[in-house]
Amino acid sequence: MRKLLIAVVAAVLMCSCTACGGGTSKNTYEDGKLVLKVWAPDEYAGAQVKAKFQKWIDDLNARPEMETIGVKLKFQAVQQMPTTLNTSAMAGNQPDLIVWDRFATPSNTQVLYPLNDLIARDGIDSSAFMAEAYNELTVYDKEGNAVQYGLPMNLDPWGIYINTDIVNEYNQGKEASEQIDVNDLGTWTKVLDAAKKLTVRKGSEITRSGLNTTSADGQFFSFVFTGAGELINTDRNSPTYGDTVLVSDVSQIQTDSKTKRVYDTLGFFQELYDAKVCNTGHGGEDAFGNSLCAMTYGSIYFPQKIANYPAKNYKMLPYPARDRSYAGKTATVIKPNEQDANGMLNGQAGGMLGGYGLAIGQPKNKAHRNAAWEERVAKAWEVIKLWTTDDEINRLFFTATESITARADLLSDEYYSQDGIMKDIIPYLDNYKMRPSVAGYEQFEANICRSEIQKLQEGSQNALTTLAAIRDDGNTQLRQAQGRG
Amino acid sequence: MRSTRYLLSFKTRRNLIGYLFVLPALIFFVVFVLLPLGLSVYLSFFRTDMFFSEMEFIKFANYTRVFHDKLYWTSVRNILVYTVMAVPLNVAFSLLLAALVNSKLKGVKVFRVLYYLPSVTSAVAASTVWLWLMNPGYGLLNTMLDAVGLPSATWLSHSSSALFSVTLVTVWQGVGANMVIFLAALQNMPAQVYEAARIDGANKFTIFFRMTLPLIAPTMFFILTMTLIGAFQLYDQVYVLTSGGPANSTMTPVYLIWQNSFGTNAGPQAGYAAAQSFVLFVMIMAVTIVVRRLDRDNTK
Amino acid sequence: MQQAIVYDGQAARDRTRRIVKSVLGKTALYLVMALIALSMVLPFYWSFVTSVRAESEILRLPVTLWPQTFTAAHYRYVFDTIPFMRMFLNSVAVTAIGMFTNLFFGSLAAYAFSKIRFSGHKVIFNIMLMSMMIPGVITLIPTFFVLLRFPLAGGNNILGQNGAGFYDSLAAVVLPGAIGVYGIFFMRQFFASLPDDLAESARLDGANEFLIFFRIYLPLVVPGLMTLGIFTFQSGWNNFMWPNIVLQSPDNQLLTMAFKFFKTPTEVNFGPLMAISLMMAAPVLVLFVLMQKYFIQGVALGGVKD
Repeated sequence: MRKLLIAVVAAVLMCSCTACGGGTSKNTYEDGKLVLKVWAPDEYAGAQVKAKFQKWIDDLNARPEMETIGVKLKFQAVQQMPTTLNTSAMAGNQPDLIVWDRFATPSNTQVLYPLNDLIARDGIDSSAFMAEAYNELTVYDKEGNAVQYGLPMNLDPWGIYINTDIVNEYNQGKEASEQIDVNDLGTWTKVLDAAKKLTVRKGSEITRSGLNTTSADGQFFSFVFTGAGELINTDRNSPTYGDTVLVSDVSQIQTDSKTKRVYDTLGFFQELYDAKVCNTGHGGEDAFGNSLCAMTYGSIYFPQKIANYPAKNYKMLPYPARDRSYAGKTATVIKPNEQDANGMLNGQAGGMLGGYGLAIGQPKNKAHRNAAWEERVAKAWEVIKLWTTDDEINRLFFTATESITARADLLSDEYYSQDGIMKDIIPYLDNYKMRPSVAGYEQFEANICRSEIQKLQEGSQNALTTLAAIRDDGNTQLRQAQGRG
Repeated sequence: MRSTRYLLSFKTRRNLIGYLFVLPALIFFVVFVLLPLGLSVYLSFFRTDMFFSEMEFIKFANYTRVFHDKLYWTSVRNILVYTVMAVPLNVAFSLLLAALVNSKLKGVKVFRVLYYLPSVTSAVAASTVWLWLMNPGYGLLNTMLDAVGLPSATWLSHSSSALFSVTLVTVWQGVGANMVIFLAALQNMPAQVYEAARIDGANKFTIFFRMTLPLIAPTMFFILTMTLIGAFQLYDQVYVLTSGGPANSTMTPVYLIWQNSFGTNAGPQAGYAAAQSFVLFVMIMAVTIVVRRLDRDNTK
Repeated sequence: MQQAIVYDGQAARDRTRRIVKSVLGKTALYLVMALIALSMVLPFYWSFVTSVRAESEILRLPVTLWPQTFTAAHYRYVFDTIPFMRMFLNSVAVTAIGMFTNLFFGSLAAYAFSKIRFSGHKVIFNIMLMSMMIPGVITLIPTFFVLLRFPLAGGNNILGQNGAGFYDSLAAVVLPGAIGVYGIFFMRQFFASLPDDLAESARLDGANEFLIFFRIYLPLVVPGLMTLGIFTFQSGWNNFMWPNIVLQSPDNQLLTMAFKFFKTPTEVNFGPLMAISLMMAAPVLVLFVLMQKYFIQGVALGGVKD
């Protein structure tokens, strides 16, 4: 009995020691090729996209160019990036190649490898990439030097999806002035009007939503941007760099151009909520897929998500331009694409540009930055170069994954003239904008903007109090994240 | 062995053996409780990230920040509201269940098993299932409400109902275990007491409130304390069901601290997260002491 | 019996009334119990139905109580997406090791605290006891740090540098909870309730203390061990927060973490999600049905002993 016990204890101790993660001082090879870990966040690699991405990695591995570099990629979808990246980088288990959600770059520079030297050495032409996407991977250090943490991989413009069957059904037998033209929904007013018209009620219950407003909290940046506004002060020479652009003096809300634009966005949201054009019970994407909702917000991947749903005929539109100005709940219609008294544009159709870059993982602990890691970094860079700068390979990539490439010069590829959704949105890409590149922005958007707008949506506060909360709590959060608080 | 027996005095030998026996436990206690606790105290006076890099000593600034942090106090308010809903519901409902399955009816054992079933699942599994049940458009609950002509409920999708919905899940999952504890207490009750009462003509309710309840008071306080401590640390369910939303209505202190330590907020927040957790600790201790005090007064 | 009816009509009516009342009462009682039982079981039913119905029926209206088309596709998808067996075995290993260490070392310490009375045992015990009130979240980051910098583990040197420590290994889950204070506290009560002089003669015979503990005392606290075993089993099997922090590779993850593969921030895949939830609960359900008596007794014991 005692022997047995000792054996069990020994086994337990053995287990706990041998099961360890292991060091990273030796690299693994398969068929004489260096194995590189590739991570993509599961937000990117949703079920549909993931299968395509896996196939793309397999295709890439089979290419002769990869033979030359001498690497084999092993792909893994990862939950909770960038948390997982951070913990793994502490242990020296970080991935070599990361499909990196660009907008989280400023908060995670410690675990990403700076590429400046490599870019300069190999003479990478940054102008080949869409500027907004490239710049989203740039972070300025304390001395004010631009550090590049990756090269952009794809573009994920968001927009409004509209079910054309529902629109046609509505237009049936209506006078031309009453009809909805899906090609003419370029302003806030027109979208609001269409949302009201397309909403179907039975008694007080909404049986079909005109516009899905449940996820509007996530669209805040897009609407602020189409209002030609901004949220964060990104001027590095300004004393309030990194704060929100919002003024604290209530009396200045109408006169301060930047605050005014954010305020109008909130006013528009409030008007949308008050119009009650959405049955929140139906959900957003599912409702659209089931034709229970005429318009919803979505990324370029939305069609892949709802591929198995009944709704088949729809169109993607850029976010509409601001043409409404609010004082309290009263709206005045203004002209978009024209300048206001301060020379600022009133609004323009466009939206938020999401998308991913390719980055290289860097261990946090200097002891882990050994020769084996350096070898992997060198090879990972070769893969990134091949992937993003080789026209033929890049074409293989974007056709295999059905995505919009970040290579601005390849957007004229004939592939993009075939697909309806991409073809429609690519002409607007110049109007798309990345989110502000300051540390703490993602927390600001996720924790402050979203929850405050949810309160506005539920009617527990108005546009004014929402604005004040975003400003006050937002500034606190941003300052803490940037180490200024 | 024999030689040591003569070399060392009885007392020394006893001490030696004693320490030897507790040594494994003591080592683990020091390494995985005391050491991290000490580190956490230390951490709470610095601004730093989870890498312990660029540590900046800021004295009590993290603690003063806790007191000015609106989100933290929202989470504290949420957890208090949750506790006030979940704990009494849990205790009352599990006592009711225990009373029901304490009868000698045929097939009562089957009911015992059925009532206990939710307790054997994990919080994570239970929450994923309820996430689907509570889906506002396609979930079973709203379908059933619809079938009997009642209006749909918003469940987790509105801040007015989200916390209550979370409560529902935890109560559903938690009553089984507490029911069993109550059941044991009820079955340990001396039968003569009841006989005497029945002869005196007391009705069932009088018996329950005047006799049963006082007799199972110790069990009640045990369950109360454990449920309370558990309630204050609500995390798994929030992680799966709501991620703290909508509008932070289900944000709990533990979820928030996790966010600041390893979640989406992780930046230079490690020291601050430590301070937040110590404030939570003080609150848990205070509540526990109050319950203990009540217990003592009650048993006097 | 019939005579009673003949001789005393009033009494008979009372009797009938009592029978009717008791039958009615019983029926009502059963009804209430059945309704509650239904609400306890319904979620299981619903997750089962969802896990076997075709994708095209989930998130579609109208919602039906019974699938139109049955499919095993969601289960297949689960097995294709995650290393299910590996995760299952990880969970088993972590839980089993945790049960063993907690039971064995916990009772060893508990025995020493209650029966050996070495100097300082009260102080040490009280310090341990106080630590039980500390919410686990306090030590999140430091424990991570300790595991990462564990000397000689995972390529670390003696100072805990250079390697990954216990990061992304099952040991990182097992170690922090290997010898819980709760187990010591729980077992101590059982040892304390046993008389001290049980081992008198053995001691006079010169038997060593470990044998006294192992041969004489431990068999007497088996009910306590069973109960503690159930508790550590449940907490080990259901553990989520900590594994979710320290485990990363799919091959090293536990079953509780599996749901994350089907519920991402942007996508909730209910079919596979229900399949994995059921598969997560199934082993425990089976175990529970088999060991029902001990389960229920065990939980009860844990409460009453306080």
